[in-house]
Amino acid sequence: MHIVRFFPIGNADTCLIELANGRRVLFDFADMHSPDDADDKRCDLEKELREILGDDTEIDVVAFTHLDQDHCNRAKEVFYLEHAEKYQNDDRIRIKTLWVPAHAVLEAGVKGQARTLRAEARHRFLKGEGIRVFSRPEELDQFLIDREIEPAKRRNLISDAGTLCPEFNLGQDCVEFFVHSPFGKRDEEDIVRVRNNDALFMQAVFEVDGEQTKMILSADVGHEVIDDIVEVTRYRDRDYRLEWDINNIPHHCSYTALSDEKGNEETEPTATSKWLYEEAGQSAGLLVSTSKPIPSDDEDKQPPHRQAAAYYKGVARKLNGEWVVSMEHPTISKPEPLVIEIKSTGYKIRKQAPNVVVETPAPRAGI
Amino acid sequence: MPRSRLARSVVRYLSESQVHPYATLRDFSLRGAVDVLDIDLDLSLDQRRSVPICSTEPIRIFMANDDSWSPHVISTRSDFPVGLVHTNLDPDVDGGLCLCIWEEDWSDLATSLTGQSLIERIRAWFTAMAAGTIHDDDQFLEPLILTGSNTLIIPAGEMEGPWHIDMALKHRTCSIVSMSRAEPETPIFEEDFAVYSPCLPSQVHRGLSNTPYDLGALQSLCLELGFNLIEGLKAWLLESEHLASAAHRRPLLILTVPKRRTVEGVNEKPEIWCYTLGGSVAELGERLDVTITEDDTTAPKVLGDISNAELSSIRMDPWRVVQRLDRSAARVFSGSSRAQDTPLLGIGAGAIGSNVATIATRSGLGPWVLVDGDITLPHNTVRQVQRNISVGLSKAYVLKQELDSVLAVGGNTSISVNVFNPGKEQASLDRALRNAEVAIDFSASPAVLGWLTDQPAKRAASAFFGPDGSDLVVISEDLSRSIKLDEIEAQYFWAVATEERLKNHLIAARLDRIRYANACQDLSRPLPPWQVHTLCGLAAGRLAQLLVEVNAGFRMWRLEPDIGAVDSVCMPVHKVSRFQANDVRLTVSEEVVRTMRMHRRQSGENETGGVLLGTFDLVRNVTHIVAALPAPPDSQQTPTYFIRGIKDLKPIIERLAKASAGRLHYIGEWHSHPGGVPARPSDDDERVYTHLKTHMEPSGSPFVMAICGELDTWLRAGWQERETVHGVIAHGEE
Repeated sequence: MHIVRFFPIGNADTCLIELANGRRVLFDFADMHSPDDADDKRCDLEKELREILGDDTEIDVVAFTHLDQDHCNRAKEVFYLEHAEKYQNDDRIRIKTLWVPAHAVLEAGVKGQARTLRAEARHRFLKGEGIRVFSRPEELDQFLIDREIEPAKRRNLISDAGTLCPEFNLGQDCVEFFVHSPFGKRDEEDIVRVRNNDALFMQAVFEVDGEQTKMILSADVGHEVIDDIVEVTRYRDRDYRLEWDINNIPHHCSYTALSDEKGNEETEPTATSKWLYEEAGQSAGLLVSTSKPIPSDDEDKQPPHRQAAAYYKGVARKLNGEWVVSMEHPTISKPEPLVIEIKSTGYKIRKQAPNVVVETPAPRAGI
Repeated sequence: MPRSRLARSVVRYLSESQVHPYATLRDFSLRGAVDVLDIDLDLSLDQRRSVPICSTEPIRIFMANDDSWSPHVISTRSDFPVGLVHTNLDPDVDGGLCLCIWEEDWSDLATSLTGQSLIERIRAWFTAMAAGTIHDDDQFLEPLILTGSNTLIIPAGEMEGPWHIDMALKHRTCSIVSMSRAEPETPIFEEDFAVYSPCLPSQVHRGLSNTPYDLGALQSLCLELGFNLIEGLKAWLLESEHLASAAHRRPLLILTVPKRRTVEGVNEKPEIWCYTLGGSVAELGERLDVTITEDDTTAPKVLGDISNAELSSIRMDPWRVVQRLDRSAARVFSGSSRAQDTPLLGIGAGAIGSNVATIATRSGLGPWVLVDGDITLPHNTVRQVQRNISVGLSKAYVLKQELDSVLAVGGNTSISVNVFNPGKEQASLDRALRNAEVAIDFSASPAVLGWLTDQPAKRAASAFFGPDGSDLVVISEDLSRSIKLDEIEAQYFWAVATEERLKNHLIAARLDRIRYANACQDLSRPLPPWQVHTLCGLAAGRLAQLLVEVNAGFRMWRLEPDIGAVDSVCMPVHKVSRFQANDVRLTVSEEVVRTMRMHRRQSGENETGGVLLGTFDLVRNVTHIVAALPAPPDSQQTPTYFIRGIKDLKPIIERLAKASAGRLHYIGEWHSHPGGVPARPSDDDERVYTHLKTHMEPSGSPFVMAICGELDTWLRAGWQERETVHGVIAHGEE
């Protein structure tokens, strides 16, 4: 059995995958909670993660889909970073292999967490180990040449869109990760350039007893990127690479991931998005929105947008599946991590009322 | 607030629980004496489901206001799948589909069902239903309808008539009717019934139908299943036999419904429905407008029309139907996976044999052939199955009778002879030996064990107690009898003399060394029946195990009577090499050769050696070598000769002899030859053999000389008035 977890961290992303063989992959780490705010229902992500890891101090792969704060908040406080001593002590969680889009190495003018993670990505990339960079724009070659490194010597650390990540395979790990995005595009000067804000968009294929369960991780991509991905993938007759049983819908349930138009009551998706959700979605599929609770009005311009949620809910209904919002699971008043078991019978959301009395320490007693 | 305490508990759980209960209370209402809760369940489901259960399922729970009956749970989803097993086929009066959540009696369930556990049980039911695991493949098929409290007992085996009533009893307000295949010689009738027993067309098993309580409902159900019950009943009522006794007999309807798992499947165990109708056969005939009765005489009604009958006004009482057990059914109920009967032969119908055979019979293992020449004595009734009424009768015969009465099938036989003097029973004894899957010695006699070894059985085993009655030993041959029972017994003696876990096993043995397991025969030694039953239970369990095992086995269970603890010891059984000359047999356990080779290797260039220990049987002319002791420390070991010393040897052999109740003996000498020198006797070696012959032959004991070389081990065994046996054992890889 594999386990996939999403965490109630507001409009932010963190997805931990624990494989049956013990290996782990963490997609983004955004510890957003405010310890001083008693009303903040977002979980203490670092505490949750450390409880799951137990005595382990290393995660096999930590992927930062892009370096926005809602995908990497407090990463520099929690992880052991190799590029600077101040991020190194035994209490920190080590990263065996870092996955980042090329943009995370090349992006200029970044600050805070993003700047620290960019330094870590650059350090590992230049050192030539412990990293995988996704997509190969020509700027990446120039980045290496500027630092007197022959680009060919770093090719093994780069994965193009349309390939499988070599860190995992179905034979050994019972999982494979197929990368759809980012992908370089030729500009008007016929130069392959990385596109700003191109985040990782992947399909994870789990296998248990010969039965596959597929998950789409779509980070913060907009509908234009999805349109490109669907078109390219279908053009190459690889529809199965977009099939999903679990779909972590993009950008915290923003309508922009479906269309340019929000719609009045329900967002009307582009034709390609419609295909992705309604045709590539498998029977009883699960849609997960890693977001705040769905509002009942349009007061807040930021996602989640109720119109987009209405569309996704309709997809879940049509598939006889489930629609889960991370900050609403199992209740808005007490959100908890969403734990999904993956077995030969597909996914299953763990819905077990814990025995709190037994599973937590008793209050202090005595005089 | 609900009046039912359980309903209040559910409400509090759903509204006040500190953790999310994955269920939401939607509504609550009072309806007469019933509290009604409407709840949405939030379910944890596999994505790929066998049954289309949804992640949110609405249910309604009906609870008695005084919690006097189990909560009824219905689905309120309009498109909830109909016809599933563990659901009621027809929508309940409230418009929902009743779910069979509880398998316990309410009186048991009520003691521990909290609001939380009730919700969790219902959630678990949905989860299992979705996964298709709510009815396991090895479970019996679901009944099509529920039944009542009167009981019909039908014969074992094929559920097909014709049957005859052999007993009709009243127990308080309930009726009990027992049927037999043969017409009973002396039936017991406290009530008089006339039986109508049609067979319906075969059905695919499915959800429960509502139990019909009137003839109209039963007729509807039968028509749905493709059978016109009323037409059949009419023809039956008009049969002269039923007309004659119509006024005095109650009609008993026994309907057989063949069932299969799938449309294409073959019929499995049929379902039997049994009903009584309120009055007599005559009254039924009149209500159906088929017959007319005057002055106790019933006749066909000439202008009668059955379509005039008000079927729904004819009330019926559904009966529980149970089937007597044959061996096959007993195996199912006892958890045995054996498909077929297992012919078994038990030699000895005493304390061990009678109890083991009885337990095995209850487990569906048999039929048994029981061999015992003794009669039942008064003291036997303490430890044996035979009772006071059997005192003076043949033990084997009485046990056969007891076994025949355990289940609804007999088939057991007895041979009341001593195996050493079978007389005219020789042929039947031989037949039983050849026929039995396993012939088991329960006699507690080493001689019988030896006798059984030599018989043409498919496989032999022996079960016996230690002398103080607190140890049980079961030894069993492998399927191909490559290691014989007496060879395992010889290894048992070596093990009890040397193995720490078997220490003191034979310490209570009588010093005259006549028997090693004399507990059962020794009248002076009290042995509580619970101890006998405990160990016999283990022996019966072991018997069931060894029937499916291929290899030879040696197990001992050691009971500590003071605290009731039982230790189980499983010892290895070593292969043997066997040599024969006419009627003389010599066997050497693989362990002996391994030991000699080890000492030879450890002694380097020097020759080494020691003494051989074993058991023998003067009557059967068999010698078993089970141990090779190392050279005593005062031995002389050189590259060209070996002189076995004596230091500490005598006390060692005496200790081993005592620990084995005198069964382990000095058997002879062994020594090694260096590499390059064949393991064949030199002139010096011949002088050793002559020395053995000179000193041992007059005593009557067998004597053996063995030479362990690099490639093989050579043996020669002599014995007074018997053929000399030679043997060579080729060495394999170590």
